[in-house]
Amino acid sequence: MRCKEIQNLLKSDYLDGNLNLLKQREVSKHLQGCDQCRILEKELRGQKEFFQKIKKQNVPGGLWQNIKHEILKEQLEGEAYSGVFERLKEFLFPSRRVLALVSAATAVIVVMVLAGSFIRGRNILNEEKDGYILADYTINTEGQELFSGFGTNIEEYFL
Amino acid sequence: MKDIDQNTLELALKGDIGAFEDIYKETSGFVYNVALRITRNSADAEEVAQSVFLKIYRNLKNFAFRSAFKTWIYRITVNTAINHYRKFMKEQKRRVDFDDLAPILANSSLTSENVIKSDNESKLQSLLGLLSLEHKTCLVLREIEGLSYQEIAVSLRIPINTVRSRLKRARQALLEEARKGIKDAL
Repeated sequence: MRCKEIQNLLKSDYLDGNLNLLKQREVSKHLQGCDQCRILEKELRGQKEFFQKIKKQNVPGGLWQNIKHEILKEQLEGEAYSGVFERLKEFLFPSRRVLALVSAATAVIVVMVLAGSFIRGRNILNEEKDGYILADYTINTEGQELFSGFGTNIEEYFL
Repeated sequence: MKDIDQNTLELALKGDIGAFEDIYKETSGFVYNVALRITRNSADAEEVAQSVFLKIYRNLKNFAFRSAFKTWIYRITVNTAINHYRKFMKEQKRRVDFDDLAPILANSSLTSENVIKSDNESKLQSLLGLLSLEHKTCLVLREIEGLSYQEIAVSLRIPINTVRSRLKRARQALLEEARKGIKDAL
């Protein structure tokens, strides 16, 4: 392998231990005979060792409390919001049970209204019938003494 | 970090704050440190970390177990930190924050270990400052977090060869800076 290829491997897979055994041996063999690549490998090792010395920083103490506070706040807001939302949803899209109750109540009202109309209708008819009877009576008794029993001396005088 | 067990995830999904705290304890270390290395500022890192955990809480239901939970969190952390950093740069604030060094120096004697620690920290800050966001992110995930190429690729949603080339470029840039420093010293 040529130096450029080796140097690319040194800066990536070789340094990070990703090479298979065969490739590792090829690179090692090249390094034995190439000063430039050997110097590069040493510099890169030094860089890696520097990073390994870097200690991780401690997480600030109050961070969890702040996060917890925000989460609990969201949970409370979520409950309040979902309560209003649920009530609105129930109003606009009632459950099956509610729908069934409303339908039954509507049916009862309709039946009552129809029944009421029917009864009223019959009463009207009866009134009309009575009207016919009265009219019939009137027609048939035309010419007859309608006011029998009412005759007084005054009436006799004028008639 | 050991991966979080499914039972804990399911409890957290149902709103169990105790289960979510378990997730926090297991993951806050790397979330904060990745955020710190990208934003280069402890106050911003804390803000990013808080934002990350709230996103995890809100989006837990969308985690469909297509990847490891850890890589999912790395992805959220990197994206949030990068967006925060870009916003910061856009606003053109210039805060160089070495407040991580102050407690070390103030609360303890100036032992050689502490001096080296603070020296390493400031050196790391300046080295990472040389790199582009993309290169810095790959290098931090590889060198500090110890993620494999595959894990980095999944976390950043980039091809594995892109991970490889970004690491090469990042290491080359740091080498050139180190050589320049030696040259200047001479």
